Amino acid sequence: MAEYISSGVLLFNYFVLFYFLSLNGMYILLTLLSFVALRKHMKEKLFSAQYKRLFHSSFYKPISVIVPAYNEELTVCDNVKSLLQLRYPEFEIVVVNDGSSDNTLGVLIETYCLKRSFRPVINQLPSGEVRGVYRSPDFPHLIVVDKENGGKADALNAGINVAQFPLVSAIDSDSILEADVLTKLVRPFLNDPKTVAVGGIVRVVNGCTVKAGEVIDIDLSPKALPNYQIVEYLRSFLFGRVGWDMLDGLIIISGAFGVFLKSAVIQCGGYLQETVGEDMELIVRMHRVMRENKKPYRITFVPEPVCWTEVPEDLKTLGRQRNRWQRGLMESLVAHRVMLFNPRYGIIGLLAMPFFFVFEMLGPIIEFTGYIVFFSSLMLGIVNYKFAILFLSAAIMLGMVLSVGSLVLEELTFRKYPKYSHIFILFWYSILENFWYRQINTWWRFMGIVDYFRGKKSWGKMERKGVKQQT
Amino acid sequence: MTLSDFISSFSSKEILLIGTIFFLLFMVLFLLLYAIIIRIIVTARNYRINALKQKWELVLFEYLEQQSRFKDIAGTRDMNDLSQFEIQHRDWMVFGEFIEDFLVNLEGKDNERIIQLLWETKYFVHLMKALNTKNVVVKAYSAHFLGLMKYKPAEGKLKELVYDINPIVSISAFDSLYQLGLTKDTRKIIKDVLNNADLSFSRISEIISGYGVKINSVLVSLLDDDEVIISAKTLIMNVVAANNVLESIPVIKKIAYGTDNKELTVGIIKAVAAFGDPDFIPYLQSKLFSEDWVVRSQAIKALGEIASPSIIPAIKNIIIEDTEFWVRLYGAQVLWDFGQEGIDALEDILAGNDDEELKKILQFVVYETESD
Repeated sequence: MAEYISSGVLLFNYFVLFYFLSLNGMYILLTLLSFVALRKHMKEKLFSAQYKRLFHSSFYKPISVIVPAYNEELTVCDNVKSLLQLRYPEFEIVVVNDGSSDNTLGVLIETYCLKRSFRPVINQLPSGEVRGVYRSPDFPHLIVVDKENGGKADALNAGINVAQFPLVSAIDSDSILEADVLTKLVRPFLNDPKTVAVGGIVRVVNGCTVKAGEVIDIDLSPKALPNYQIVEYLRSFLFGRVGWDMLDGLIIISGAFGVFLKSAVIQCGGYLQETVGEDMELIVRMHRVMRENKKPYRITFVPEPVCWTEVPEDLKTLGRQRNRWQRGLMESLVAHRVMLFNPRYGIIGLLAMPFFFVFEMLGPIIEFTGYIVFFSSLMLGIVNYKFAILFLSAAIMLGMVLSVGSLVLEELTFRKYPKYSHIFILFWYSILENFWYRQINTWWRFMGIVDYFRGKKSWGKMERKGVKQQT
Repeated sequence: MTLSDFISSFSSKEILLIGTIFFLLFMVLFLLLYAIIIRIIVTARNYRINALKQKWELVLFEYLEQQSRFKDIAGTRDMNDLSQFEIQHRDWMVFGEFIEDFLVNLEGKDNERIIQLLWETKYFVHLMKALNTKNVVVKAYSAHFLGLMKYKPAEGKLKELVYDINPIVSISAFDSLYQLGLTKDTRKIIKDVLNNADLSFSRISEIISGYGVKINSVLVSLLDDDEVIISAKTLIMNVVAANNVLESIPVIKKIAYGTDNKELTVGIIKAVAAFGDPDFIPYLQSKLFSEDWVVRSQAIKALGEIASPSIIPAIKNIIIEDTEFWVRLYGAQVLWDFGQEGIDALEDILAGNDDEELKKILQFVVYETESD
């Protein structure tokens, strides 16, 4: 019996080894692809002047920016102020108050002197009942929709129903956008009429100074947790998304900011209300619908920092967020499981979905079990302790290489963090994260899987501290 | 325990792992160092370039104020390097970036002086050489700058580059050819560019539109050319409407009655609305019964732009009978814009109708118009 257990454990350890090598092999491939893509992008960026001229002409596409807000009374006005300053020839801001229990609607009405509007709500997408639409006489391109609570997806659908322009942008209400974000993200729609969705790089705003809705001083956070997330976001966006885009396998556009062709979103049925990962689910569904209908389409990523978002500063909130992300991922993959390993869906079915299924969805289970089996085998003497420690060290070192690699990509491209000390501090966090942050993330994601099977659907409370403002 | 005993206590697999760890550790340190080196290089480069631009600026202002040759001024200020652009100069692209703003923003005599400066320094030698490089950015940059310089000898090469597989190069070359003005090949080039679906249509519209009246006859002939693809014709339709090319109207009329294509029809309707030609009213009225609601909604909007109040009964019927929201909304807006006669028609519709959607539409039209 002991022999069977021993060989079973050994076999599992080999499986973990294989899993580890495949995962990191894929990460290294994505890093290399991102390096090529970012270099190309930085070169082509020199020609942005040509596009700037375009925006002085009549050949552009107007955009409706949709901002769902739920209990955001503390931050919503600053965020709207920031959005009103966007530089783009024609756009509207559609703030959707999703039945907030605080005074979100009240502060908006008071600050922007909103008046009731009879603007029609065309029910092209399912959404909760709209209680009223408001317009600001002072800011004619600001529309506020008040609706009963139905969740973020529901609010976004309501916003699309009210939006009047052919392009829609979905953003989080706490997102701070770069002033020229729309110009950058609309480019793929101008260049390629097949484009249906575009995402961009999201950055962490904690620690930065914001003035009149614009990030004016970029700095790291005095707290540790946001800085771990800075390293994580750099890694996720600079080589995750960019690399997948190179492979034409992008299946996530961050809910913090994305631009979509409205007709394509409507054709695909809009945001799914029964999920907590509505951003990913929509993109996967767009791939599915377009491919099933044999429609040529393009979902792409602009490797430009376009949006700043506030990240959790305490473990409890962060844990809830990661738990939700994991549940959202699972819901999207399970809902569209027919695409998995299905050649009909091209690279999405054959590579992107299987990668997310094996490494992102099942990853926490494998990693978590791996830790337990690994340490048990060590204690039971099934695995040679010297080999085990060396293997663990090599795994940690590889994690460090990938994290520090994303710092190099940042230095090669955007260099948003201006001080030399920032490089050293971020380097330090990219080392440290391998000793506890990644492991605790695995635990949160593991609990996300457990909660998914328990049928948990809630978002969990996200506390906003508000960013450093300069008046 | 000696060192060799210690080493021999590891198996070959363990030694392989130790090697891997050291390699990865080296990689981590290397990457950190690399990041720092990049930062140092970029900071130093930016510092050097800013200093260089400040120096250039002084000489340039002096040059613009005086009638002397640029080379002479540079010489007296111990800046011979500035006059050496005919030989390989490592900062030639930086210089281009610096001078571009002046070239674009200065007008009249000052602009001529800047172009003279570029000739004098033989800046074009670099640019022409760079048109043959494999580096896409350098190639596109040079094509772009030669256009800004209005450097005619580059025309032949630019025409070749319009067919480059890279869209940035292709569009830069196309844009520069526009800067150089019309040639006998312009029609063929525009046609080829328009028929290349990989290029940015919006950018091309902008460039073609920029030619102004000079290009009108070319655009009209392209509209009538069966080899031009539908989306390109729609684009031309946008441009002729934006530039008010009245001579295109007969061709548009011919196309209008001969196509069922939705994209083209919408393009025609928008163009017609821009021209405001009442001859198209029967055509627009026929499109009020199109199967496609986008066509119907555009047709009703266009009628609002062109037609006289005699169209009110027809629009009234559409508002009552059409099932598509946007068609009804645009119809109601058109009636409102006709003034009292239109408002009377709206009241008539409301009086004889319990349709909730229609009530919302009318409330919206009244409110929006009043708040504007």
